[in-house]
Amino acid sequence: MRTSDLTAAARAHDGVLRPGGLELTERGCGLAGFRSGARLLDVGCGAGGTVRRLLELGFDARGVEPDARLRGLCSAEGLPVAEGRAECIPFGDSLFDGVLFECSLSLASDKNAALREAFRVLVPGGSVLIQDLYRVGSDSHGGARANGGGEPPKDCAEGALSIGDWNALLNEAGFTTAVQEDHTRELLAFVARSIFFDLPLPFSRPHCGCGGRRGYVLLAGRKGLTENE
Amino acid sequence: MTANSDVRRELAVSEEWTCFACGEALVLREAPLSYQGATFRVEVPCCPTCGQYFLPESVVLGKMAQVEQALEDK
Repeated sequence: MRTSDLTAAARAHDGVLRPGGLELTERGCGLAGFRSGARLLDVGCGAGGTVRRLLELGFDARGVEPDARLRGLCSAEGLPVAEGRAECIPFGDSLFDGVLFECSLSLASDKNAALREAFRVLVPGGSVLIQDLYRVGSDSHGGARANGGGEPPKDCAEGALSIGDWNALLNEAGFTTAVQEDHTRELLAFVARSIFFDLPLPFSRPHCGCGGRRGYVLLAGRKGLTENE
Repeated sequence: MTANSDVRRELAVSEEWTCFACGEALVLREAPLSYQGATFRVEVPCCPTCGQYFLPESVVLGKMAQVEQALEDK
């Protein structure tokens, strides 16, 4: 999707360009156990809808966004946003209690590197929250699943992994999976609403020409949490 | 909702209708539209007395059919 299309789509969807809306963000924060004042980083924050809500909820939130026009939408609202990519988060080690990837990890050109970066900037005991599309019924794509060194996917439907591969990536980066919830109904509702109101979709229709059906998953991974903890 | 789509205009125009049973002018109220487990909320004309919703035929045969078709394709 081109930058101008992304900006228009973000505006049309009230700044929240993904299934589940802010309700799913709040649910994820609750499941991860983030408390008021927790330092949260939204990677690929887009137009800043999540950062705004997190600040309203009392979190110490900020965003990272590579797209200058989307950053401009954040800045126009006074939202704290830094220039950066998921594979190179522009913050020091152990600074955040939570890192969020909301339909953005699938877009990373190197998902392994992105999760290693999330692990680096999290405090011990911190959590990464991932909401993203997944490939229904797909087996592992092996080394190709992380797109390491390759071209970034054209959208999050193309960049989606299977549930097993998302979990494997989390674990390889050092996280323990703490939460896994299926929210495919929210994906269908997002697509339905977009069609009904002629809103632009930020990805190709999940069943069209991109290698099978897609679902939507919420995952939380904990840094430093072992099976005995 | 920031969109000003055709379907929104179709639903707004039908505010001119009155409820056959109650004779009340319809008002816009948010209602859940559900199909195959996918639910989203839309403002549609509704009788303030009996609570019956009214959907114009053009919307039912147009956008709603389009959404149903898209979800059935999955």
